[in-house]
Amino acid sequence: MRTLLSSGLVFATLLASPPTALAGPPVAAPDTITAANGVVLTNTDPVITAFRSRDAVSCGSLPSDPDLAAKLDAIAEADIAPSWVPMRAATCLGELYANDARFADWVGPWFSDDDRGGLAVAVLDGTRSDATAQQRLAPLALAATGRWAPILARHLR
Amino acid sequence: MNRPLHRQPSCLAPVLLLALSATTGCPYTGNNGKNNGDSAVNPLRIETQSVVSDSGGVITLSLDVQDGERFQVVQDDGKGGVVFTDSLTDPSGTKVLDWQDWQTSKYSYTEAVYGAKYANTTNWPIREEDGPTRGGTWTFVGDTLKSNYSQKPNEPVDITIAYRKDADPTHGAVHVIVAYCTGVDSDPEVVRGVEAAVATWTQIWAAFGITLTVDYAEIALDPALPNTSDGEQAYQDLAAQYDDHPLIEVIGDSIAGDLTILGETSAIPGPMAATQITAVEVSWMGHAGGNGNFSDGEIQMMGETMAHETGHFLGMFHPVEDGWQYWDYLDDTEDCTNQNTCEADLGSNLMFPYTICTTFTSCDPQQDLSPKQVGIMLNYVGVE
Repeated sequence: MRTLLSSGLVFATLLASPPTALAGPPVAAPDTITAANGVVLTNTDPVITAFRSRDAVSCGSLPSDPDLAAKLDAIAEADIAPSWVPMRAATCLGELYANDARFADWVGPWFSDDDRGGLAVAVLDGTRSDATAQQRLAPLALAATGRWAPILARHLR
Repeated sequence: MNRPLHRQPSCLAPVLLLALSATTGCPYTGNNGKNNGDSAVNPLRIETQSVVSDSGGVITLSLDVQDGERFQVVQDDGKGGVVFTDSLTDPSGTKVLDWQDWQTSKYSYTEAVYGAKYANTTNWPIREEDGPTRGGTWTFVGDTLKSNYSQKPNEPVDITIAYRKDADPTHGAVHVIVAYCTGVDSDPEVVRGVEAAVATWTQIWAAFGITLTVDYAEIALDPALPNTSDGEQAYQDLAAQYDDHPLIEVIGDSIAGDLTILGETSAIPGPMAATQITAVEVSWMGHAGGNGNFSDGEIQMMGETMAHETGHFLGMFHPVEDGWQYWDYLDDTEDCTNQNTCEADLGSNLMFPYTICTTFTSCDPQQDLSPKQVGIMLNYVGVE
């Protein structure tokens, strides 16, 4: 996992370099998007970078962020490659923030949207150790129709 | 598809069990009329024994290795106990593998010396420069341990030793069983995505001289998969159906109820013998994303995940670990020490630990391997 520290070291190195070292081709501005919840994401965001790992990611060891819950919701809703980045964000949202006041508003629509049903499965998996959260999500999962209905049902604990 | 296997009865090439308390005798008695002990016409021979560790929890085996043979020792506890590889000594008395050399090393060589639940796999040679093997009697020492890694005496363990010698060590072939968990293959989009990803994986390995032969199967298992290392009887049962020790790739919704896990191997390397951890798992859902449909890019990513995780199973580590302080034990993958140089030097490598995406929606292919990484795969005894 790349860390805030390593990114900071790169930035500090650039600042310390003589002006001539900064000359050369213009550096493209970071790719940014503004999510529906107002969070601005950059392609090099440390949380996104962490989610791009090929191997398992621990939600408990994500880089710190002033409002990680909102960032996770923003990442889950965004079109970010690889596709597992939004899925991991949804899982961590369920694992870490099922008791956040905004949680139901964020994840509720996923259970009735064919294009986001995978996020609903991910958030269910994220709450796998939280019986109370699973109970709150169960009616949404059981009310789902279409392709995702049987998958959601089998991911209820 | 079951392919014929030329097995050498263990009674013809007996394993000397120095600390043997009990054996089950000689389970393989057929030889197909071809088995004469000449490895040139007998590319794979298998020996199995049941042993009991001694009062110190130690298992000592003598291996009758022919010149140039690769071999693999699988210790199968079968009950979730920890089995461990202590050392491997060649016929000249040189200890070529010693667990003490690797416990605190910054280089990763084999997980066999870290211990594993259910089954522990020691494959030799590991790297190209570790071979070719010298014929003669090799000595393998293993241990049975409690969960706190203290010695567990008098523990029964099933031992499988596979030996293989090839006419062409520069190319290999692997038989793969792609096994869908219950109900997963009833979704046509999942089947389309998996088959296309397998084609990508096939192309990746073919570029390095390894040919995949793929068959599809079903496995009676909940698609919400357990961790591979937790052991699953269904994996052992499926693997046991095939004589040629195929690589089992299981397709489920998710792994350990956690969509942060895309794919998982049970061990580095994993066992070619049929055990409860003889499998690599892949989550189709983690790759298809929120809409459950596979784009071309997602198919490429899943193919790379399949190749990456099975690469672990065949013995490859990441060339560098996150944090840039730990590396594989190969001298043709750079021991880079910071993010920029690691991404520049190794970012296109199949075994790099994370994907590199220059924009939100575009990630670079990761399909390169160094010659010595390929050498590790070709040395895996399950590769023909």
